[in-house]
Amino acid sequence: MSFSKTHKVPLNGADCMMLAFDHQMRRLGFAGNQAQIVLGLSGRLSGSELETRLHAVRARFSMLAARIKRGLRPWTPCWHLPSADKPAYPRVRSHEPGDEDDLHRIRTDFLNHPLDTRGGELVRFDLVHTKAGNTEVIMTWSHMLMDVSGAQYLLGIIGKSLQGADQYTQAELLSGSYIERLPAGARLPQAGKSFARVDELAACPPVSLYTHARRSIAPRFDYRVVSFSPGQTGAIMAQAEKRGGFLNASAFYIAAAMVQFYQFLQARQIRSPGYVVPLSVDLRKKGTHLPVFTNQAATLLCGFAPDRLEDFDAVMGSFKQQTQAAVRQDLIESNTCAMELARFIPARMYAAKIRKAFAGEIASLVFANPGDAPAFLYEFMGHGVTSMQHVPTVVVPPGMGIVFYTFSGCLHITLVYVESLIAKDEAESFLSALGNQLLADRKI
Amino acid sequence: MGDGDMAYDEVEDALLAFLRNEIFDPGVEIRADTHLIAAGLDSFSLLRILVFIEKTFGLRIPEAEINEDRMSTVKNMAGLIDELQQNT
Repeated sequence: MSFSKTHKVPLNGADCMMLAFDHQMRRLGFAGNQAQIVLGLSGRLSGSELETRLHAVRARFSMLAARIKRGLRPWTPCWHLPSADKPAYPRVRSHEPGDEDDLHRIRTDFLNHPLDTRGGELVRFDLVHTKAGNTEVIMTWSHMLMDVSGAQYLLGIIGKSLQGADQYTQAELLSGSYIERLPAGARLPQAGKSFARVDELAACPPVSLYTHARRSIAPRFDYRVVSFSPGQTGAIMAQAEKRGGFLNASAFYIAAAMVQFYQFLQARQIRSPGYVVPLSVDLRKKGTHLPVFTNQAATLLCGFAPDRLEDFDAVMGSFKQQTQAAVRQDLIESNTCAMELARFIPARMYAAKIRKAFAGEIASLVFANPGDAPAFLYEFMGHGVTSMQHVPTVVVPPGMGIVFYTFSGCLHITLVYVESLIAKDEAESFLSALGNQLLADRKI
Repeated sequence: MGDGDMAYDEVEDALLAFLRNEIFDPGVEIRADTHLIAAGLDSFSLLRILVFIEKTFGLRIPEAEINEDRMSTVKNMAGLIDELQQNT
């Protein structure tokens, strides 16, 4: 594969953070910083059909097979785009599982199978054909390339369900980055506020489950998903609005997750001076999914004192107070500026700055709330989509994360964790207790 | 209405300009009666609007007023600001 000097796309600060996390995870023996969206189709989609479609999409978007290089000009990391000859990626693999246990095992195998990112493999597709004649489409992507919003949009393009899917150009899918809206001269002073926030939280640093037990940990992720009925979801949303406030389901979800996590650590007799959860803020302008091939997110770190975590409403109140203060103090802008520094120094140094402040940690638990699945994810290459799951890997440490999302009027929660940190039964108990908490102790 | 308070039309114009320039994509048409949640407003955008109102009009919106009725359109928000200005 040859590369032209003119075909370079710089990584932004958030992409570089994802690169740093990828290095970190691979160093510990994990597959890397990657994530999956799993679509359940009501019909059989063959590997050759998808390959043909991917070939057409790849011809328009060479970013799908790009490689990261740090050169002399520019010396910040860039995607080097392949020329029009035949890139080997993305590839499609097809599978025929035996039974349900076998299905979960092969799904986790896919999650733990590294992408060949150095060779330009940024996206991979696995098709699982069930005995009932249906298909699961599993898209695994490198978080260095894009965030979950970008990944959903890409699925809309590949699945031809997105209006105008075949008209977008690569340049359009790369344009509109948030950092370009911030004045260049103000970026460095702004970054300082974000580091000050890290130092503030470092007074009571988090202790993750991974760090506590890392000597005996195998580098493999497992996950469990709990799903709620439309009626239960309606009850949860009503509770979220009543207790968390208008448009603020995240406050409700984070409070429930942190209270359960605190109880989990208490049961393990792990004492943590503080609890920190990163909240991802989508920086895209509202009403658009552009840009696609990039991470457009800032991270707000929310900290909780252990004594607060015994009271659900106290956690929610503290979360609301911290997010309001963050917006008043422009911490979203300052975090974006701080991450931009990661472009100019090896990204791992930026991650190391946070780890140093937190005595080796990044957070207690990773949290994400991608919200409602977009309308274009209800169809894929002419097949109806009957289910959807988000399954990310999680930076290690902490090696444990929780994702809330809704599809077809039902709330789903994915708990992902380093396999030997938590037993299957413990993960299921955690999710069950979390569900009860969300439903205000009504039985699920 | 106190000294320095803006008239209803000015409030509406200021909110529209903020939403068009800072929150929404230029491809989304934002008018005074556009349903902002349907147009893609999320929790952080709402927080940014509340902070904008604080800084521009010197008003903190009471938590009880932050609901769909009050915050779903620019028209409703401007009405709420007008009410709060009248009462201060």
